[in-house]
Amino acid sequence: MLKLQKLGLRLFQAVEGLIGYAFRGFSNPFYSLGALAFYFFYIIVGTGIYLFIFYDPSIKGSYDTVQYLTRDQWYLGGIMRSFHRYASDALVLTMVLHILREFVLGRYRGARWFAWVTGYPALMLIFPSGLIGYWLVWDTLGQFIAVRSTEWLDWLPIFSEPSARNFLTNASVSDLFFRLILIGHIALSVFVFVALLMHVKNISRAMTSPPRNLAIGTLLFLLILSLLEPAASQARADLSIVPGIINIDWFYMFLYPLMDLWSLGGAWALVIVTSLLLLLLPWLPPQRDQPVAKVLLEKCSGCNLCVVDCPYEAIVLQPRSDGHPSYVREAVVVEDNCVGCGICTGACPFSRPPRGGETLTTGIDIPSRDIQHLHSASVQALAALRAEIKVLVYGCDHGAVLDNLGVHGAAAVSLPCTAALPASFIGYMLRHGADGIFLTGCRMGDCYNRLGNIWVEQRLALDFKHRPHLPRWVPPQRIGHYWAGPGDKARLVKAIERFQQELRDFSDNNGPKAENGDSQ
Amino acid sequence: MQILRYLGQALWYLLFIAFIGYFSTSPAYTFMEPGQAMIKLAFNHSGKLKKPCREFTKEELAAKPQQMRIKFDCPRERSPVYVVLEIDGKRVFEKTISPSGLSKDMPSPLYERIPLKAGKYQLHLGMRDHVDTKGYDYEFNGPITLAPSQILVIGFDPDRKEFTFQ
Repeated sequence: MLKLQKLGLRLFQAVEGLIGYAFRGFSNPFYSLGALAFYFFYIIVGTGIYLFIFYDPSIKGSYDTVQYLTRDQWYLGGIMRSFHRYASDALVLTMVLHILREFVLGRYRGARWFAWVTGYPALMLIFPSGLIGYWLVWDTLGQFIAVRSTEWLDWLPIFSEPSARNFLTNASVSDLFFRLILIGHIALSVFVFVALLMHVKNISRAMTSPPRNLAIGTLLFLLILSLLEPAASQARADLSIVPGIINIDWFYMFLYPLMDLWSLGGAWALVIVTSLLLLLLPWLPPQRDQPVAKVLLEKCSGCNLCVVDCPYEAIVLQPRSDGHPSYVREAVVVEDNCVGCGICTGACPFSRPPRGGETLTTGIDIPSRDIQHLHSASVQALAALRAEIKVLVYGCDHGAVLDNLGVHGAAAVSLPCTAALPASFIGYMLRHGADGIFLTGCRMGDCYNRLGNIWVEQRLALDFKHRPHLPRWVPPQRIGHYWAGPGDKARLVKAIERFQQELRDFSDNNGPKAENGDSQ
Repeated sequence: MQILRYLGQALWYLLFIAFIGYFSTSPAYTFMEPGQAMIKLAFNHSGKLKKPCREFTKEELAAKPQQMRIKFDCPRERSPVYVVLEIDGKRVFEKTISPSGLSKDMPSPLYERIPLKAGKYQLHLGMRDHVDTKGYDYEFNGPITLAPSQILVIGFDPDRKEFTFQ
């Protein structure tokens, strides 16, 4: 499975890198797949409401009203119908890509199982909802889906008499049937929305709408598609005639050819096996317990900063349990939600470098990779450097590989997430011999821990609005950053070398380090 | 540079809508070749009771509690229904359908699609609804003509005790 994931990751990285030239950061459609799925769902609901106003749920009326919207009211109703159809297709496409991408990135295990598993009902409900949408048109495609779907359902030994018998002749279908499936279509859409909300329940600042430029661009080109290739009905349904050659929507109906190619049972087997695999994947193979954040109460002031920065709703504030005379609240870790990214450690104001020789502790930390470990690793890395310009590189386990960096005068320390680095450490390492600090991590918009590189950039920002922030005395010229994905090592190396050159120029223009007053 | 980025974005969007637009309706799927037709055998028929009612013997009645002493023992289980379809003397369908229901006392449901080329055929249909029947309880022999793409639904009318063709 790991090989498959690595191969998939390489493929995604290549495509995303290519698209990244045109779309920056979060605007990259591949970094906003979940948000795009929400967006397409909004379009489906909005256009669906318009279509509902005109739709007549009856044998004759269903086809006639959809035809009226498509032909007579093409300028609005027709476009709405096309948006409804194409947004539904795009929803399936983005959801499938979203699932594949999270799989290759390995973002479905540990505490992430909840988002993964709750995504499954959303996916599974979208298909019947979409297929019923096609029934509602009651053209030959709707007829084909109705008959084939019920035949497929009848394969399961759950009905006392075959449900496909409801579609034997034109007389066997009633107006009531259309009212029922219209209610079913709407009800399933509501369930999809509930499932989507559950899916993002444990995610703070969930992106449920894409960046504005991506939203506008997508809408504009959906409009172009709707004008160039308006969604159209096929011939009116006639149950006395078998539809021979049908233009099916492959996003929703890929199973139907398989029913004929394999068998009805084969199609069920595919659905069941895929479902089981998707649902069990977070535990395949069973994983050792992931390290989760621990709160050290004597250093927790209940300041809320870790709660704000946590991307997984894994920290909450509760009334103080130790009777502290000054502090009213304390941070409590919701272990089931914690992925051990360490962003909370980077946010904690107590994550300060040591003064004197005491053991370094902070208010909230990841036990296996605590702040003392970070301090030791940083000091050792810096001590090993023998160069005129020394650069300490901080990166993460999920971005460009930092082992054997191969840059003279640069040493790297890897963290679970770059945002786990407390901003005060930057000043500390500069005071203790580093000429520059270089930060790297996953590509912007594609942080493995969702918000890591956003927090890093905000902590480095010179407006000092985000707390905690960089010490004010640190010259910004001595800090560099470049966001690099797993396949971007060569580019990262070049960026570090460029930064080293900038540091040399900065030193030449500003005199030796000691004269800056920022070296001890 | 900005223009190049916009061009790149436009190219991406075009690829996206081309993909969506194409697979939304294409390639066409051939569910049934032109010139084909279909027979659908579909009905719900209750087989006769498997065993007839039987009068309890005096001893049997005496062994029962007072309030349960009914005169007849009528088993609910129905016979399976056996259906045969022959076209131009060739057997294309044959099935024994068990009655539905936990006590096997409900109708035997049948739904079967039989695709065949459009044209004229000699049809023979046979059905027996009791285990003891030799031959068929109900039978049809006759010609049928199927137009291309036509669906011929063969049912069974239990009141007239004959096959129906729609």
